[in-house]
Amino acid sequence: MDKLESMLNKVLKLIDDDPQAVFDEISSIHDSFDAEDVIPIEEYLDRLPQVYESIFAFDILDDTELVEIEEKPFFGEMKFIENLKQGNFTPILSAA
Amino acid sequence: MIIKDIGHHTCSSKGGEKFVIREAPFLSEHGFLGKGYYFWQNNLEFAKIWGHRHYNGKYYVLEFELNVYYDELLDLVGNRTQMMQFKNLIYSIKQKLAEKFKNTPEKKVAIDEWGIGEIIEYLKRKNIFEYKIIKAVDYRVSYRHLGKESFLRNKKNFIFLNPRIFYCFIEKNNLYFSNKKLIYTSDG
Repeated sequence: MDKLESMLNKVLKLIDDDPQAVFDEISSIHDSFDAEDVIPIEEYLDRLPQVYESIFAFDILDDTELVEIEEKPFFGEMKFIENLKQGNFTPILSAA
Repeated sequence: MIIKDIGHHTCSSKGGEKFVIREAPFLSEHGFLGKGYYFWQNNLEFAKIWGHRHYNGKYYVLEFELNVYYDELLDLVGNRTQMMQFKNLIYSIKQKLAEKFKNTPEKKVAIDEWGIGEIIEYLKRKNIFEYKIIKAVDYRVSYRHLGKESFLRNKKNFIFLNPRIFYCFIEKNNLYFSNKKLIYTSDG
């Protein structure tokens, strides 16, 4: 039996033994990873200049990057995107 | 079998060059594949983009000459058999749990949202995960950065010649390298 097959058998047994425990533990990991992605607003505003710089320095303003930025749950983001699309790069910090 | 490879490790410049060169690589608590020590596979460009966006522009890139023990590697880039088995593992876990909670729709939704990093982290915590190293590729990058090239002039099919491949070494004591050096500092 190879490693992946062995891993599968072990985890399926854990699920059979106590599905609620498996669900709770993976959910807890999922939640902790989510929490890591939530940046305090002060830190986010500090980071904005770097977001600008990375977009221009590395020429990464395309659909993929826009999606990534749009998914961030902060109020300034959409205005930021709109400003970029319109070629207006200045007023995002004042939006806060 | 040992595979020699180049790994680029991005880290904060906090502590200064001497400290970073001595202590690197640094643990990532919430990487794509869970907790571990991460390296871009021979890709300074992606290492720099990561540093610029995640370390407020204050970062270093170190280059490691990695010794990758193939027997300890889960290769989700080039080993088709492992990719198929791993996909089956993930699907089986989700499917079995979904069956157990078939009368609890909100739990089924939650299970659907789990990523492979979270499931790998669970397997590691239960001492079920039997690999020491994982190699994976992230496709969420612009085509320009991935080096998209057509196979033939009149065909729409294409290849990526600059894939965003990375290694995750789960523990530092399984990380073998023959050399490491600082190759880029964001402050010049």
